[in-house]
Amino acid sequence: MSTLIVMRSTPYGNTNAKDALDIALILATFEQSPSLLYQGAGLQQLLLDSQHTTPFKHIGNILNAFPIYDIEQIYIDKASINEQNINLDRLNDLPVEYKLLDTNQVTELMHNHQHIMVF
Amino acid sequence: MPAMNLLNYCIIVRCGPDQQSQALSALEFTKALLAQGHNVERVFFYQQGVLTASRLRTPAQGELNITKLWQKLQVENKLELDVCIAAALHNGIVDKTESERYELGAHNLASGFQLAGLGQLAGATIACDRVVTFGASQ
Repeated sequence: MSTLIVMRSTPYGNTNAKDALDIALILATFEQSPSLLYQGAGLQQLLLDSQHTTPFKHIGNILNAFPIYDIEQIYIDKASINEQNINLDRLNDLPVEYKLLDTNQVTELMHNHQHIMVF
Repeated sequence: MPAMNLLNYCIIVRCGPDQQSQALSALEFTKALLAQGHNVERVFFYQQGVLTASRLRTPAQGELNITKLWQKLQVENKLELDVCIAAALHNGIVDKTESERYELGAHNLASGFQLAGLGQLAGATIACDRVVTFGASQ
């Protein structure tokens, strides 16, 4: 497996989310099928219902493009769900399917990738 | 010295030149790789890292000029110093071509650096054994 991109930043606090997604899209263009792991504050990128009023480029629009780019390996760190106090129902509208991973699975995921980039 | 497995590396610099210890670590790590005989496929400047490539940076006398240090390393080792073009434009780092394209009237990309697309980074993840990032903010 190629590259794992770890999303740990809030969607609009800095450019990390957007910059990481740009890398994910370009890797997909190169047929490298990147994996994305959402951890900690990064989970807030997936709460599309709370981003309606943002003046910035909407993260949700990029997520909508994932199926077109064949970006299908989306993982969410289960421990972060509790830590961020997120109701899983809020992820129902995501345009992509995701897998919940426990701590051991997160470790395994990281071991299974050649490159890891943390944003 | 035991025989060492020589690898192909890509270095990503995401911190600005003012984040001194991280910016310097990226440079020193690259130097150490080259000294040990590893190949450095390319150094890719992304996010705030692109500010390293401004030839207008003028640190006070006695202060470290990380731009000049990269330029020196580039000349000595024929290093490829790629500056993400999207981040560069966003941060006001332009070469002659982009300056003319956007009619900016000036250009400031330091010699030895070149503007490049994210495709160069994607290519590096395919070609390189290791991709090492410096200055990843949390």
